[in-house]
Amino acid sequence: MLVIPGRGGSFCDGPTRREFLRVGSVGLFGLGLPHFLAMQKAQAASTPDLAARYAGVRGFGAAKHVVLLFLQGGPSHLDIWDPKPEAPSNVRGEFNPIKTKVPGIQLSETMPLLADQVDKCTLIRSMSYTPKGLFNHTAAIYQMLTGYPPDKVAPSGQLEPPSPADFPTAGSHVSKMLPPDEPVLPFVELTRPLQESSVIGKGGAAGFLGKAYDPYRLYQDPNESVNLDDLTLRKEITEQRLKDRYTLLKGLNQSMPELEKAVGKHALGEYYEKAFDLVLSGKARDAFDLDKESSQMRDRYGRTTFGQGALLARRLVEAGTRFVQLNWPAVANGNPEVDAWDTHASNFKPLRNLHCPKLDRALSALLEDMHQRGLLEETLVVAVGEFGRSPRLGVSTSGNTNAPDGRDHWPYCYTAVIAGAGIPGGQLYGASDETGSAPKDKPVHPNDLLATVYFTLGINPEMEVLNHLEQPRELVKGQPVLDLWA
Amino acid sequence: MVYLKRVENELKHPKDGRVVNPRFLVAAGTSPSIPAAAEGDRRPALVEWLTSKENPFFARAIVNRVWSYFFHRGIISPVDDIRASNPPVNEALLAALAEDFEKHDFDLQHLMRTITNSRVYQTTFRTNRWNRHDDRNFSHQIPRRLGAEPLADAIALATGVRFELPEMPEDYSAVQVPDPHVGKGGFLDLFGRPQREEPCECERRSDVSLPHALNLVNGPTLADAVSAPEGRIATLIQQGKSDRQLIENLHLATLSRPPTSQEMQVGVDHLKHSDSRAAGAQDLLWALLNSNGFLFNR
Repeated sequence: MLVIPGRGGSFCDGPTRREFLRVGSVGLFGLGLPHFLAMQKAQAASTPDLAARYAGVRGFGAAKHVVLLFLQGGPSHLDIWDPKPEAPSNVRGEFNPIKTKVPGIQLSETMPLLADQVDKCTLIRSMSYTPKGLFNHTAAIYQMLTGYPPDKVAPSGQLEPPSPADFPTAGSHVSKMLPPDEPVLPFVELTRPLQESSVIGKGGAAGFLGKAYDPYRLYQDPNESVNLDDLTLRKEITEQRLKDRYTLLKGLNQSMPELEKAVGKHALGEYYEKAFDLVLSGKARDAFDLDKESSQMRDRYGRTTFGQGALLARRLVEAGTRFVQLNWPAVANGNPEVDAWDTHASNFKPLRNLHCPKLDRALSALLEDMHQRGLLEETLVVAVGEFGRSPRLGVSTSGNTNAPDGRDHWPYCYTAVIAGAGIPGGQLYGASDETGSAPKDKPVHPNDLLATVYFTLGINPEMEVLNHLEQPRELVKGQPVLDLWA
Repeated sequence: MVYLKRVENELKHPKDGRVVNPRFLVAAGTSPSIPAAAEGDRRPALVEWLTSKENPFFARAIVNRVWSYFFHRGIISPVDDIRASNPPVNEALLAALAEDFEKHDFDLQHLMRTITNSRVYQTTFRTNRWNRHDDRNFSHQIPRRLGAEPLADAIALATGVRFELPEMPEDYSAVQVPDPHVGKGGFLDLFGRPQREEPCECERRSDVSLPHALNLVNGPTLADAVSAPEGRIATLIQQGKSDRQLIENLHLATLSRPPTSQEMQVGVDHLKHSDSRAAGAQDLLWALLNSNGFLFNR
């Protein structure tokens, strides 16, 4: 059997398998293996890595970290980011637009603090996709975070729970490809899991990459105190004693050198070194300690689960964590007074009183604080939900019932906020039509947004990854939005 | 409780609507007939054929799967991806095992005995200049990390402390746990116990990564077992064993071999410089449990 040289696990360098097959068929006419190898060599010389396709392109590899504020539930784009004052009253809703720091960009009156920070972010007002069949949250979350539509639906019409064969969530791919440079946790998911009724965590796990690449899940309220047993040295073990143990362990492994060599590919030694660093350096543990922040700083982010979660995200990035995902900390439970974005039962009063003040305070503080610390330059910040909400009030688009002032699911047009990593702020990218129902200009598919995230970290979105059956899959079928840096 | 719901679900020919009768995936005439829907349940016929000697797929699939439990991969790999375009690395071996398995009435114990008594199974993991690049022809063993349940049981055996299994009888070991809901979210799941959500061998993971190392370095499973007051070390000290006896016992319990003279010396020195003999012995046992020699099957 012919094996393409290179790193196992992915076809990240040289010709792809598809190109290889094409070359292989050329072989029938006389251009055989030697030509293929010559071609591969030539390509390797000119493009040492597939990533080189984007080398030198503005924005490629501009970020070291990602903060994803995942607004699960589907926030109403019209009532937050993309007001339509000229639209009919059954679309326009109750809120008025306000001016922002940037002439020409208006936000809804629900976001007064963000209005002063708009110069630091770009609004993509043309997010759009058309789901195949299923129209619920989990399917959309899975699409947004893995880049693939879910293929298995339980007889109830609900999605099935997370499976080891699932496509990996973006943070898992990233933390596998780009382990952090510091002794910190690579991928942290904050405050609560992704959820739709009884299906929990779908689209939020490492799937076929294996549990090892799951996020470190801190499902605790950072507005209360946080418990971190596994990062805290046990009381009977002093630092010196742990170091002595490590010395003993290294000695034992060295006394079986052939075995150490034979298990080398597992890189266990490196993982142990990192684990010792994590426990001994205390850096990871300190990153979770919000008491190290001044009370003014904590107030600025808002004394809410989401606000303190955003502050925690900043601390984690500062310590070196590669990917932080902060999920919106409430999901629908039928009570219209709960601050879940799924506002079928009542849209305006809860948005005004519950949701938007928390989002507005946390997001504006995060952008301002990260900018002041110079962190925004090397961090990509994205705030987005799994879809927007129906422009027309009180109609059913998903089969759910809606109150007269409720809005239903709407994946055909919504807004994403993107900032940092050298993306010039104070911009609009794309536009929606008069009612915010469809993109008028430059539609961006969720896969394009994901591709942009990978691109920004210096990962070629088109690279192939191997699934649990060692079949090649595209990382994501999307194009990075290069014009964000224009 | 058995709940049986019969639904008329015949496959109709798309052109003329004729009912298309099912048949097995073998050449016509070589498999038993399947009753028509009206004649009753078809499942007994399916089950009977699946495990019969007339089914050409069964024996090959099972011997390949069992083989993969004793090596780092199946003769066809992945074991859940058997198809004409994914051939076995050694057809003669697979065919011989399948034939022998069939001849012995699908006796799994016989199959395992055959495999474990083979020279192939007993080869060393050490390589020589001719086979060091081979990773698929079974010319040498390739070390595998112990699976979740054997790892938990091996730690229990080495430390003399039972692995906690909520809701299970006292004398149960981790490999006897019947259901993935026992101890859910704990040590077993972290180390790759399958959740039984997929009918795929790939659900079991035996990779190693940071969370595993973190758990073994600082997690409660190992730390509690090493320092337990009724564990191996406490017992040995109570029995009045000397330092050298203690060290030899710990090596035998974890690596199934006595320490080399150098390892003995390191152990003796460490015990001498520790706050107490117990603490020193705990450190040594901890290091042995974290060593490649303990974590990897080879």
